[in-house]
Amino acid sequence: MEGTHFVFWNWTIAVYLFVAGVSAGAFAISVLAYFIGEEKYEDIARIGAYIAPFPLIIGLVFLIYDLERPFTFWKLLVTVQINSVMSLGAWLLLVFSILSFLNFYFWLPDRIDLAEFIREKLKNRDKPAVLCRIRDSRFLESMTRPHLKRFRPLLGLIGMPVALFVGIYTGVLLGVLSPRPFWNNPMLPMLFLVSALKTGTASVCFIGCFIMGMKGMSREKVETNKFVIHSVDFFLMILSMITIILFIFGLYTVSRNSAEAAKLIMGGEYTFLFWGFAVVVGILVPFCLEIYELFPHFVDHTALREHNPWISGVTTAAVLVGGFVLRYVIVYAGQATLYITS
Amino acid sequence: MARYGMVIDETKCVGCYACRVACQNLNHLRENEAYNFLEEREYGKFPNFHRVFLPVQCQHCDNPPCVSVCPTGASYKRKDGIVLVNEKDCIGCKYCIAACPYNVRIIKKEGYIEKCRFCLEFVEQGGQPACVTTCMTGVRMFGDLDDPNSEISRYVAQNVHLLKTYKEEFDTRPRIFYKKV
Ligand code: SF4
Ligand code: SF4
Repeated sequence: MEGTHFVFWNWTIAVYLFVAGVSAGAFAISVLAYFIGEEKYEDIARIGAYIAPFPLIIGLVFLIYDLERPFTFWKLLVTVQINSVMSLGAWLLLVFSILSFLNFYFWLPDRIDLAEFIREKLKNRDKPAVLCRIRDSRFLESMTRPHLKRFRPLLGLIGMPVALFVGIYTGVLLGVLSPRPFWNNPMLPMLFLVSALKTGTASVCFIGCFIMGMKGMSREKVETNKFVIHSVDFFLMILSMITIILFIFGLYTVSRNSAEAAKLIMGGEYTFLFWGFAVVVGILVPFCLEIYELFPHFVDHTALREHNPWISGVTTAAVLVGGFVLRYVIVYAGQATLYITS
Repeated sequence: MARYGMVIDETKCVGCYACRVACQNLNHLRENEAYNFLEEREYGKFPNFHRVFLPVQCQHCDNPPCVSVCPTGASYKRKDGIVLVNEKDCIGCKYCIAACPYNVRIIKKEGYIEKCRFCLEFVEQGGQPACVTTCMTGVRMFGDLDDPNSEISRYVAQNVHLLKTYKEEFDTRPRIFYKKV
């Protein structure tokens, strides 16, 4: 073990990086859909808001489980270490999970109204005074459903950058480690961010077009929600191909050490996983399906294809599998490389 | 204030691993755990080849990446230059293992990270680390770099052009100086 490399972060960290990305992406796409067309793209915004908090919570469980002493995790949140990406990230994740739960609540259907429920329960009480004060407060009133919708744009404006930061942070966490040539690559955070947006979009599309679309989908929805989410997915795929090419390009050109590290995915141990799953399953297969789905419309301006849930389902499932394998390969390959001097 | 450092004369190392065993005994490590190890390198082809052993352990960097990445402040550097892990604060996130260029940190089964501590207990009593006292060929020299009359300071002054630090590219500014082959 000593002098050689050992694996100290296993697949749980890959899961964590992956699901944190899914959350960030789902949140971002939800806010984006809300901003470009509140009524028109309400489904995307709503599904995104419903999804966002939960992968992250699972991810945090995995992250804490990976600590050598899981029950001391609270120590992360009693200190701020300005130089430590992990410390800043812990705070960032705290803020993001609060925001995503708030967003989740703001998008719940109208009949679920906590504030109204509290007001109802306290209606006939006159003691203790504090409770009555709470009941009559303006704050509680502004938290009832009819008023809540006003907070959505504000939350979107605050939450969007936070979500993007979460997506970037998962890459920066690994990217700042200069002794690990496979990670220490300026393209890595970008790669993770694009993958986060792509998997987030795919998760929304998976729920919206595959699971909910199983029963069929109205023509109107095909032309609005489904069309937009597939188009976004399509362009993110192009972006992610570019970032992967640039990432590999970076590995070969940054230093002798990183060129050595690149061998891990160019013929070495992780070649099959990387090219077979992260690239072919994660990008090329869904890319072809998206071309099938969208190109006649893009090029000839013919009407969109009839809704087929399986195409959406396979596309998005492939994107999600590919996104996870990408994290997995990068987490392991990074640990298998260490800067060598002669 | 003392400023502890070490000189390792790579040319004298014969690769007997006594320092590793002494350290393991002192720190109650299992046989596959170690705070110091030898990096073996071979140059040339038989019959014209030679083999070198580079003893590596925590370099007690003056600009330690393990300290700057630690999210809880458990890894810290003392005023006298010794880098330590406060085992009570360490949550075992292993980020410091990934950040250390020298690959010298290990996970204790109690769930915290540990590495060479320059045998603090002995050094504070005026003694020497176990790897230094145990080495039969006198590869290692330990002492106070701030005291101009200490053996190590005089050695460094005389041999300054021969001494190098390991993996200088990272600007970690190690406290261990190697006399290279
Ligand atoms: S050698 Fe590694 S563990 Fe020791 S101080 Fe430097 S970075 Fe930290
Ligand atoms: S494993 Fe312990 S010492 Fe290392 S960075 Fe995490 S908290 Fe700090």
